[in-house]
Amino acid sequence: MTYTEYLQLPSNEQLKYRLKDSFSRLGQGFINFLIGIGLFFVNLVRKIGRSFKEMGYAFKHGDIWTRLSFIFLGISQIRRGQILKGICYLVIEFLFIFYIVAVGGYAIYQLRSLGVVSIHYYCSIDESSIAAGFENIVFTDQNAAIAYCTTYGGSEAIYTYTEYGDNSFNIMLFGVLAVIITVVFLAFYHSVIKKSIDVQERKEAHLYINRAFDDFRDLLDKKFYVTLLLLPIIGICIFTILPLIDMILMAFTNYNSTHQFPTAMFSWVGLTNFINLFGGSHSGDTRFAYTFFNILWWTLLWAFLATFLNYFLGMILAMVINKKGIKFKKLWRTCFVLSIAMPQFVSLLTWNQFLSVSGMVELIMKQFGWMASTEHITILDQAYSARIAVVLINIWIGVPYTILTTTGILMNIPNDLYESAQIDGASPVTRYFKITLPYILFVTGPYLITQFVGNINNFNVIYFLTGGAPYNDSNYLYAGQTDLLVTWLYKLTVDEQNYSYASVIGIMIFAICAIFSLIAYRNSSAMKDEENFA
Amino acid sequence: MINTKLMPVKNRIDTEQALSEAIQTKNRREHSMKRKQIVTNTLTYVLLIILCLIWVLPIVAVFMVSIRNESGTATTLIPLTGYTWDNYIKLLNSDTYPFLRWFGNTFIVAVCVMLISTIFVFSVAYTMSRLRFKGRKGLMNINLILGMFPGFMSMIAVYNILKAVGIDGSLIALILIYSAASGSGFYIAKGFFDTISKSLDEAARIDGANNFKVFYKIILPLSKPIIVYTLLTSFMGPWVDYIYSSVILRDKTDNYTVALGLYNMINSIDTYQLNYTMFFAGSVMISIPIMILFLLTQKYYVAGVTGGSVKG
Repeated sequence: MTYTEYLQLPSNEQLKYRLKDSFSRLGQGFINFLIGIGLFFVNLVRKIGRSFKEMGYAFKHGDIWTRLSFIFLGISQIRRGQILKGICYLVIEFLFIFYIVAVGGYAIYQLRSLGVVSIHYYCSIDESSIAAGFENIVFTDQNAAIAYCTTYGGSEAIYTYTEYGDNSFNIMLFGVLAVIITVVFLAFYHSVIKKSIDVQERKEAHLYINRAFDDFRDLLDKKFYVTLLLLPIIGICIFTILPLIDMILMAFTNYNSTHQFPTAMFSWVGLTNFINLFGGSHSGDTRFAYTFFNILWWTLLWAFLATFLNYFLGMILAMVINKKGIKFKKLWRTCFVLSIAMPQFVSLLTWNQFLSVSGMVELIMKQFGWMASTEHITILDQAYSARIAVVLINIWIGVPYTILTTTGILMNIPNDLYESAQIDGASPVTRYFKITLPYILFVTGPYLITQFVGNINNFNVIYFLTGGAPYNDSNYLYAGQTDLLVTWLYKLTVDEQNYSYASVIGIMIFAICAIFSLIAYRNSSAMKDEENFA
Repeated sequence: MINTKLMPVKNRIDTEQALSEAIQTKNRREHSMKRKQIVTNTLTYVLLIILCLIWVLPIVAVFMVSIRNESGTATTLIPLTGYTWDNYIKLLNSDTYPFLRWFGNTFIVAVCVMLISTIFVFSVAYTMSRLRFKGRKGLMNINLILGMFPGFMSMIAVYNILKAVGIDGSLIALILIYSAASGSGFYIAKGFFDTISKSLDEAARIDGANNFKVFYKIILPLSKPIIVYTLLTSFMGPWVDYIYSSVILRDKTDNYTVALGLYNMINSIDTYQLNYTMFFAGSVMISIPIMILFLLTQKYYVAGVTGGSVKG
């Protein structure tokens, strides 16, 4: 349907079309998300296939030195005069082999079971060594050990000596690290083989072969990107990718406070956590699923309200300030902006204090006689009023951001649009809906969806304002009724140490954000025109 | 205006009459419009004043609570014991809450983070904006995907990695988690570099400059605003963050940052009534520098949000 056709529809049809459109976009986003994951793996397989083909080519057309390079990396380079480079390749290969033989291989092997040796206890005299004569009496349970030792240990060996077992987390960490190092090495191996045949062919064709000096010079020119990206990418790998892979894998284990070092190990449980999430619990405890769906619903509602209320109220305020004839524009704007200049944790904790029992709001109400002096404020004690309070205070927090961002855009709307509309007799309301709103939506559309995703992950507002309270529904698992998925995730990890459930929630948050972001990026044409920007 | 003096007398009178009537109605209409405008403007001013009060009063309240001459929550709107600076002095000299130490910690961390992340962000942004190489799009897509995972989902794993290395709970650990992965936040700086004309690079390249020289001699001098923006935002990060520092530092009170210290001050039930006003004094002390920095960077912030998000 073209835009003119859309305009000719009666308004109820327009609304119907809008609804259908937005739902189909949501569906498209979801499908694109699945397709994206599928494509990722297809491309991966295709790339691996291609690199095997390239290596086959190198083996088939290579001379003896190139073929030797398959075993000793860099031989081909050394032979053709790139001595420093070749030696570096060789050293890296030996370092890798040394690493795999010494620790890496075993680390990967241990990933299978995430540890076998559990913690055990011996009788001891001083807690730091095994008592003589008790070397073969081992317990896995400390209480049993204490009971035995006090009975049979005589007057001395009544303590226990603890020998720690495997630390499943570290096994997983080092296992994943070893896998990553191996994958990186294989990619490196492939590129070196490719270079080996390349340098051979250049030699045969009597072309110029780069010397060490040329390579160093290239690091500041043709390969400047390697120099620039090296450290940032290493940082991202260690502090984002490695931990992230660990946490994703944790969703498939039973890692929680009862399965953690030093007292116990955790192990693979397959999809059990996800089955629990969707309500098919083995143990009959469906609280996880119940909590998830309730919090998901509230998270989406919150994100919607927070985004759109802030957006429209902020825009209207920005327009009011921008109105012709209003003086001290800068002063008004600064008044609003002050509230975001303040660190969020300060302003939110302040609001929390003001709204809680014997806080400022209660005080003012009592002072003016709106409330009996014996009563206490209960805004944050009921689910619905706490939720309303959170949304309202988020307006206080968020509207200034919208004012800040839309002011510039409002000033950029061509004035002749308004003048001609005024001549045609359009009322201010019509002008707003036909000119201002479409214009701003056009410019800030992607921003709106980014905001929506940001609000799904809005940790600060909820955590500092209510901390997730109230806790009136006992069916909620480690969560309160204003908790968002993201604050629940925080509580699951930091307070409850239920890492496996937390990872499941993290993956779900990722899926939701990815779906909404995909809608945003599909619709933003600016993304496609990157090259033509300047 | 019609020159009536050239007309016959009778016509002249008629036309003059008509004209004066027309001017009168016009004046009347203008007058009523002006009156209407004055009314709407007054209403707008009233609305703006009320809204500004709603937005500013809580901030004023923070300050007013911080100078109350009492320690716990208030029982009257205007304190019976009057106002004083004692809360500030108490906080600065407190042994249980080493505010100055927290301030120093945060400052050290913030300066290191500022330097490292600015270098990282600029390296990545320049690469992605200016250099073309195999895998560039792929890297950008991976970064987009990584950004969709909730940030602290991996914090526990990061904490364990730091523990395995033996630096958990230290300031170095804090610096690392704030700055090591900062390269992924390159979008705003990239958006800025994208607006610098490519013909400048090309001219320099023809003159024999390599990519490093183009970056160092041409792009950097032109990017002063975005350098300031990146420096200031990364400097402010550690001051306002609570989550990461709380996971990394746990009970190492000596290494606390200001945000973490203040949060613990108000959120422990036993000491809550003792520290209430002191907490607000601390809040004021940390808010003032942050507010000044933010007001200075406002305009870059706007350009960043609108420009950066539109360009992905």
